[in-house]
Amino acid sequence: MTNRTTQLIVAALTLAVAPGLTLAAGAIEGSVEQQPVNTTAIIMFMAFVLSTLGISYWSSKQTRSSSDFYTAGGNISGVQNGTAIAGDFMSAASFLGISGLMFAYGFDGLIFAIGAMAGWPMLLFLLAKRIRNMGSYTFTDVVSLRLDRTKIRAVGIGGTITVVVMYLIAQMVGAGKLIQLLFGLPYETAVITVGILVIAYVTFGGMLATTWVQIIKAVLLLSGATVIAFLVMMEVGFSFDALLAGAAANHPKGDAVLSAGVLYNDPIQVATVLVSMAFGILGLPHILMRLFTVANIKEAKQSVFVASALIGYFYLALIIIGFGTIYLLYQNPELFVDGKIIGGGNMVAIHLANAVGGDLLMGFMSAVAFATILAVVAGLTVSGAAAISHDLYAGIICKGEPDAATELRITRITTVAIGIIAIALGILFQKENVAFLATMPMVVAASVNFPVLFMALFWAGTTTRGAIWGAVVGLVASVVLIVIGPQVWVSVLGNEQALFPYNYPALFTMPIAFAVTYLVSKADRSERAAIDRQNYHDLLIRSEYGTDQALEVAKH
Amino acid sequence: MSDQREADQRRAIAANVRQRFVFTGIFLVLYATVILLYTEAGSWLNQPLFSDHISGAIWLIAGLIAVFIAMEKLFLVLRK
Repeated sequence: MTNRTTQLIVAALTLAVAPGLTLAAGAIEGSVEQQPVNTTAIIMFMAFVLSTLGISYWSSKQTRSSSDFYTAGGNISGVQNGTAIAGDFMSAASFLGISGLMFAYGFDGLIFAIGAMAGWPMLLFLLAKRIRNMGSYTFTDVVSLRLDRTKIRAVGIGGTITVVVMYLIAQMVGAGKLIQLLFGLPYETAVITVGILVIAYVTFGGMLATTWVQIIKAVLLLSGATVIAFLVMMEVGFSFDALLAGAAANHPKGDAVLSAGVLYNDPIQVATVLVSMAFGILGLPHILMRLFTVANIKEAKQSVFVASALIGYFYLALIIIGFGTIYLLYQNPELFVDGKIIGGGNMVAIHLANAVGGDLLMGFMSAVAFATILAVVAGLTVSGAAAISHDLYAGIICKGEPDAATELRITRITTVAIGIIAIALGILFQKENVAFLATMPMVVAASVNFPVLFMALFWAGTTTRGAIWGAVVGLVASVVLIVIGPQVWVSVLGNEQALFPYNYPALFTMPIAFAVTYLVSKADRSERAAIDRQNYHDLLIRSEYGTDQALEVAKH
Repeated sequence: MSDQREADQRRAIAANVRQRFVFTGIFLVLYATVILLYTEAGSWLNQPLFSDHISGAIWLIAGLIAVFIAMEKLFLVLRK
């Protein structure tokens, strides 16, 4: 694999699959040359595709209803679902991007690791039970149970589609370039290939196929990270202290890379990253949707715990891998040209895989990286399809009483449509700098979806009007602050200095959304507000015990 | 459902919610300690701790990941 190839793969992946990481901003803009292929990677990737297509065929036999499609009929076990959640969330960019940051700045790269880990405990403590008890297929179900069904579903659909579309654009652009590089295909062909594969997975296999794609990918990624971490530790006689000593000795900044302050020195900057990542997870529709794929609340909680444990393990391994890149790669002058690592900082994990495991391990990790993209795009597609067919068609147009067969047909049509739209967006944004779109999903999820969900679940005073205003203001504030922030104002629009200094504004936009929801709800004296407040009390027991009796008295 | 039973359930729910918020509060306090690393108050964590090269900051991140998972396990056990 050439240096250029590796550089672009890593840059594309980083942008494509990490909402919290935009380390490769700008790199994805560049044209991609047809490259020699990595045979090992292609063989491994083809094995993955064939096995997952086989699973999709099997899943299609099990998928007969909307429930089967959206939530695999609730038949996934807690451990399976937890592994799938981990597979949905752990990105190749976590592996590539964070290790790249650690290679350049040492400890500070770990801020993203702890941020990505932090949403899960809160999901378990605060939301999992009530979401599972109050919803059916989507998080919009949960809020529409007590608030005005039509209006709040519209808000939920807006939040979901916004997140899904932004995610999809970034992923399709990155995925297209990755396949282009691996297979030497033209960009458009590569994007269409990704789109067709995802359409095949989701249209035929629904959530069941998506779940198994995510499980396989999670196992592969965890295995790869484990092997690399093990081989790195073997190099230093399994002494972590020796690894850090070697890293400090080899890095130009010396001992400073072992502690905080090389990349960040502003605590507010750090707080913006931490808040966006932790609370963003709590509003990601495709993650929340996974709580409905298990049989009961016990399994749902188990899912979150398993996901959290696997993700935690992954990031612990990443500490070793990150410092391993510093220790092992700085020793190899042949990896540097004009003082810079070949291919840029984001490719250090690939170099490390090659250094400790040779071409086989490097090929394996490349295949895993692509599997990651397919798994995440499939999850997003299910979530987007559910927003349209379940929330819009069944919930709003049919007022909650759709014809089951028609709903399933519309779901499949929607899936194909989303796949085609994703392909179109991938081609449309091919030459654009879409780095800011990788940041926005987490910020929007934290500032729109999460406040609405939390307030509806925990504050009796929340009204439909308050929730709508909170969501709208949260969305507008997020977009405005990102546009006037460094990623758009400087990197895209070419201004010298950003009007707002932070890339991740959720630290500010999320409290604004909460405050607006609270104030508008407090001031709301409408007839509907009284129903909303009464619904909270009527639904409280259901939200904790999952009984249906309270549902019957909820008014819409 | 009798009024008494419903009242008992609502009291239990209130207690459960308090417990959840306590866990969340503790979690957020622990999470916020990461920010301390970038202030004067937490600067001591940027020195090696319990070894020659492992800084307090690295212990903190690894420890937080382990503690978060342990908190989740404890939460599940308490709520069983």
